[in-house]
Amino acid sequence: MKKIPDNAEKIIEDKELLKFLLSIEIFNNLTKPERKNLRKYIYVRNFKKAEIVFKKGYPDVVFYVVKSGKLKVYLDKGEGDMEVNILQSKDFVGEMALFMNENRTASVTALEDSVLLAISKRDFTEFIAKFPRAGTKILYKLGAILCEHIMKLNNKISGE
Amino acid sequence: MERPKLIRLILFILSVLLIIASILFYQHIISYLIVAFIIAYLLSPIINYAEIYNISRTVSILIVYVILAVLLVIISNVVIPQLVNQTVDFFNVLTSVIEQDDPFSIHSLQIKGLSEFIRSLESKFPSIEVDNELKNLLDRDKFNSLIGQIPLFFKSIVNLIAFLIVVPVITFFVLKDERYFIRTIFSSISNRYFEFSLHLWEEIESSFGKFFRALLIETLLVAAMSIAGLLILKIPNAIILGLFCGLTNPIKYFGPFIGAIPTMLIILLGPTPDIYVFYAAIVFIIVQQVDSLILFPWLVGKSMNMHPLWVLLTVIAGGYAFGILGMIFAVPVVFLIKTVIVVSHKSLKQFEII
Repeated sequence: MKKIPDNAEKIIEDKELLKFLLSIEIFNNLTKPERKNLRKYIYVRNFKKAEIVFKKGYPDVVFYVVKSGKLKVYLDKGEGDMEVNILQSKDFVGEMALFMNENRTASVTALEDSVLLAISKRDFTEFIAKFPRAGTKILYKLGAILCEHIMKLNNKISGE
Repeated sequence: MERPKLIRLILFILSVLLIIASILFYQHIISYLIVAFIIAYLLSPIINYAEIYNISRTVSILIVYVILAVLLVIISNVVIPQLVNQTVDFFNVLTSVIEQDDPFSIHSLQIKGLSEFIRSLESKFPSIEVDNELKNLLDRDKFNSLIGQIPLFFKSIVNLIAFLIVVPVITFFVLKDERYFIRTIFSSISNRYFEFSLHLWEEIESSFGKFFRALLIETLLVAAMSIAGLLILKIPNAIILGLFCGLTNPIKYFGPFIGAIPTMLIILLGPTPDIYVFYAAIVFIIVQQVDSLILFPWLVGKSMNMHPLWVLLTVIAGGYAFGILGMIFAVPVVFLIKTVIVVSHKSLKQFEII
C-alpha cells in the first residue's frame, strides 16, 4: 500500500522544513529568523513517479531543491533521451534560472515519488532585496557551487 | 471508473457546489473583499519596504493605519470643509454672473445658454420639491411606505459601519499574511499547471501592477503641481481646481484640456483679472511638460505599450459609454484585458498547454 500525502504542505511540519533547509548547502549558514522568512517563499511540491517536473524550452520560473526522492535530468533527443544527471535529496535544479533570462535547457522527470521545494525566481530576487544579509550568504554559496561546476568541467576536459 | 477517481470527482463537485453556495451566501461580503484587496494591493509595497528594516509586518501595518487615520481626520476636518466652501463658492460665482444682465459683457454672452438652463432648472426644482413632496407626504400610502423605509435607512447605516470596520480588518489580514495567501493558492494547483500559473500571475502582476501604481503616483503629482501653480497665482479655489486637473490627467490627450476648463471659467467669471487665463495656461503648459517629459516616461514609461491610436479610440469609447469616469478608467481597464490576453496566450504556448 502506497502512502503518498496529497498535500505535503500540511504533512511536512514547518519545523522539519526549517531543519532540512539547514542541511542544504546554499542555505546552511542562514540564521533561524532568516530561514523562517525564506520558508514563506517556499512551495512544497509532490511529484509521483514518472511525472514531469518541467520540459526543455519552458520559461525559467522556478528553482527547485530536492527534499526526497530521485529525479533525472535529460535532454530530449529524437531517438531517445540523453540522461545528463540524477538528482537526489539536497540537490537543486534550475539555479541557472536565477541568473539568466532563458528557457529551461533540459527536462526533469521524477524517477520515484519525490518531494521538491520550489522557490519562484521573482520571489527569490524579492527575498534577496528584502533581506540583503541572508541574500548575500546565499549568493556567495551559489557562486561557489557554480565555480565548483566549472572546475569539474575543466578537469574533465584536461583529463581527456 | 476507478474508485479513487470517483471519490475525487465527487469531492470536486462538492467543493464547486460549496464555492457557489458560499458566494451566494456571502454576496454582500464580496464587495468588502474587493475593496480590501485593492487597498491591500496599494499598501503592500510600503509594508514590504518596511520589512527590509526588520520592522515586523504587524507593526508596520499598524503604523500605516495610524498615519491613514490621522490623514483621514485632517482631511475630514480641514480639507473637506474647505472643499465644500470652494465648491459652493464656485457655483455662487457661476450663478452671480448669470444673474447680472449685461448684454455687452463677454461673460454673459458665453453663458447665456447655460443661464437659461439653470433658470429653467430653478423654476422646475422648487415646485417638485415643495409642492409635490408635501402632497406625497400627505398621501397615506406614500407616508406608510416612507415609514417602511426607515428600517432600510438604518440597515444602510449598519452596512456602512460594518464596511468601515470590516474592510480595515480584512485589509490587515491580507497585508499581514500576504505570503501565506499566495502560497495557499498556488500550492493547490496541480503540478502540470503550477509553473504556468505562477508565471502567468507574475507577468500580469508585474506589468499591470507597475502601470497601475505609476498612474496613481502620476495623478497625485500632477494634482500637487497644479495646486501649487494655482496657489502661486492666487487663483481662488486653487485646491479643488488643481485636484480636478490631477483627476482628469490620466485621460490621455483630452485630460489636460478637460481639467483646465473649470479653472478658466473661474478666472473669466470671478473677480480675478481676465489676463490670468493666460498665466494659468502657462502653469498648465509647464505642468503638462513636466508630466509628459519627466513623470510619464519615468513612472509609466515602458510599462504601457499600447499604440496611441488604440489609446485614443479607447478614451473616446469610454467617454461615450460611461461619461468622464469611463474616460478615466477606460485605458487602465483595456490595458489590463490586453495584458491578460497577451500574457496568457504566450504562456499557454510556452508551457505547451495549447
